[in-house]
This record gives sequence, C-alpha cells and structure tokens, in this order.
Amino acid sequence: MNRNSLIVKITLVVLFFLVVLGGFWFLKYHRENKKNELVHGGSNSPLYEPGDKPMKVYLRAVEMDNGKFFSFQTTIYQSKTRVNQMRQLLLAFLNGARTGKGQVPVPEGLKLNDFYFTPQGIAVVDVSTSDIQPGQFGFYEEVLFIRGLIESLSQNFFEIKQVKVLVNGTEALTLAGHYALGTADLGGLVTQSVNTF
Amino acid sequence: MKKSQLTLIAYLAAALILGAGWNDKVLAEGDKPQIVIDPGHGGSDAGSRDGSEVEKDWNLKFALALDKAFEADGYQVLMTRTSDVAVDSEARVNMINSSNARAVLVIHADREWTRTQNGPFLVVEPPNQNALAASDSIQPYGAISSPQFHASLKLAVDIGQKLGVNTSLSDLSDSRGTVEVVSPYGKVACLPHQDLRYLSKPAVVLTPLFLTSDSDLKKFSDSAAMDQFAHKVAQGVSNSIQIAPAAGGAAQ
Repeated sequence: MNRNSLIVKITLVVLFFLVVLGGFWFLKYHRENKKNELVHGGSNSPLYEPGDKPMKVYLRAVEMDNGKFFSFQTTIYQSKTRVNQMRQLLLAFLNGARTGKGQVPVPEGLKLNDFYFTPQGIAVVDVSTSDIQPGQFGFYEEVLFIRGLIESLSQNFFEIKQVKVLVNGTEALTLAGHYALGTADLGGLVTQSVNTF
Repeated sequence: MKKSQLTLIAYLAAALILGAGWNDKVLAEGDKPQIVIDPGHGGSDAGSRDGSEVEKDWNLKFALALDKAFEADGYQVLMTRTSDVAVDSEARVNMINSSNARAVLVIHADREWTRTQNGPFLVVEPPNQNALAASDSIQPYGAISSPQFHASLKLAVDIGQKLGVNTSLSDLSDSRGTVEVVSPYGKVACLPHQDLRYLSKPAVVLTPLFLTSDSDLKKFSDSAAMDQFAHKVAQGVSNSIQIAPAAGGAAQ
C-alpha cells in the first residue's frame, strides 16, 4: 500500500464519521426545533441563553399627548427558537412602559397565561383579565390593546398569519365585556393576511 | 239553529271584531317609525368607571334624553331599560330583534386612559357573513350581512354629520370596513362589539362622552347640552331612514 492510498483511505474514514456525526446532530436539532416551534413553544425552556446575540424589535405604544399609536425599538435576544423570540417580544409588550410620554396600551392587572404558535401560523395569546380592577378596561382601551398586540407581533415575525386571543384558556365571547372576540378580521391593521379571532 | 251553534258564531264574531280592533291599533302605532334605545349596563353591572363617574348612569341619562327627543319628533321609542336595572343580554337581543325598529342606538359612555379622546364616537359591527360561510365554528356569533352593515354605517355617518364630527372611518377600524375613507381622526369605527354582533337591525353603538374627558363631563353637566345633543341624534336618524320629523316636534 503506497502512502497516497493510505491518506485517501484515512480521509474517507474521517469524512464518513463527520457525515454520520453531522447527520446525528442535524436530526437531533431539527427534532428539538420542531417540537419547540410547532407543538407548544417550549414554555419550560429558558427564553434565551447568556451567549445569545441581541436582536432589535419594534413594539407599538400610544402617545400620551394625542392617543395615537407609534413604534418604539427595544431589544430581545436571539434564542434557539423563533417562538421564544415571539414570547420575549410579547412579554416586552405586556410589561412595557406605563409612565411617561409613550405607554403600552395594556391595563394594569392584565397577565399572560400562555403563548404558543401553531403550524398554521397562528400565534395564540392566552391572557387573564381577572386582576384588572372593575370598570378600568373600557371598549376603546380594549381596541387599543388588541391592535397594539397584533401589530407588535405581526410586524416583527413574518411567520404570524393570525393572532388568536384566549381569555383564561378559553375562547371567550369578549376580551373584557365589550370587544367581541370570534368574528374580528383585523387584516387591515397590519397586512391582509393577519387576522384575529 | 241550535244554541251551541249560535254561541260559536257569537264567539267568532267577537274574535273578529276584537282582532280587527287590535290590528287597527298596531297599524296606528306602525305609522310611527320605531326606534330602539338601549342604554348599556345597569343594576349590578356598572360598566366603565373613572373616579366617581359611572358609565351606567350616564348611559341612562343620555337614553332618557334621546327618548324625549325621538318622541317629540314623532317616533315610537322602545327602551331596553328606563331605570337602573340589569337587563339580561339574551332578553335584550330578543326584544330588539323582535321589534319593528328602523334603527337601534346602543348607548355606551366609555373611558380611555390617555385622556385625549372625546365623544361622540360611533361604532358599527363589521359584516361577517363570509366568515360564517367559511367556518362553522363562528356560527354562534351572529351574522351581519353586507346590506345590514351598510345600513348601520349610513346611520352612524348621518348621526355623526348632524353632530358635526369627522365621519371618516377611524383608522382603528376592522379591515372589512376599509372600503371607506380612513382617517386617524375619524369618529366612526367599524369594530366588533358584543352588543351589536347579534342584532338583526341597523344598529350603532353611540358613545356620547368619555368619562375620562374633562371637557365632555363639563359639557354634559348642562342638561340643555344633553337635550341639544339628543335632538341632533334624532335628526341624524331621521336623515338616515328618510323620515321627516313630526310637525311641532323638537326641531329647532
């Protein structure tokens, strides 16, 4: 056996192991990703790791001197999954500023129960309204909340085709007594393909 | 002729006469166009609040003023409540849908935390018949046909014009109403509202004031301002359903 033939054989063996290892890694990563992105969104996993790079997103808020919407920039982190990025953005929106010249249209006491993203491109946002003080969430405020939520999510994630709002885990008739969930087609708020139920 | 036959004939004649009388009464009332005024909330359901201002009380005040204005203009008015009582939502919908109303005004004062919004603000339910056809899951949520939507939108615009507000469609509106001109300052919005979704008549939610607006509260602390507002609303409705106010009515 000459020297060149030996080198070729060793190279082929190394390449074979690399291909096997690469395939194993791809399948494992792909399966985890699929599980996180399509089934439930990996609510038990951390939203991002310390080494993850920062990522700029835009949220919708309301100017306190005229009541009109504007966008502001904030930073989340690139995590393993897009759904964790969506979850970070959602938390940034819900926990956004409630003082100052620009505020998020989220009433005190509104809480996020759960968030997940379906294979059909539906971002499901499950909120609790039970801790909002009675009489402190009027129809106009419900409209601003729904619009701010949909625009914040859909303008940063092209994958989102629809936004579905659940109240305490169920498909409620209204968000807080007035805004009728279930028939709304809010396509015009963002793009023709983004709706809400 | 037997006695029993005579009795039967007498009963039939009485029924015919009474029935004719009842029909005459219905026809006489039917000559007046009917309007439904539906003051939101009531009783234990206070609606929105801001400080000491309570929505259900304002809704009733405006509804009573509107009742007076419509009666003066020759309308027959059906009120879903005339005092501080809770009305079951199903009973309310049945009352409205089984009426002969040409228009329905659902009264809701509102609140808004930036305190920049003033009334009046008008909301119409977007059409949803296509959605009904597309998905059985939406069946329980009522059906607003395109003609009903356009009749409601006309009603809102006519009222808005009489009140002197910007009747462009608000940019907060649902996309299904965006065939109209959209403006960030529009005071007519096409949005899904729980109190409109089941109604089968042309209907609008009329928000006369925001509890969070000092100027609105100041304006309507004067009962004359409220009466004037109610009269303009009645004129707007008359324009919409093309009925001239009765002679000697509240027209000024």
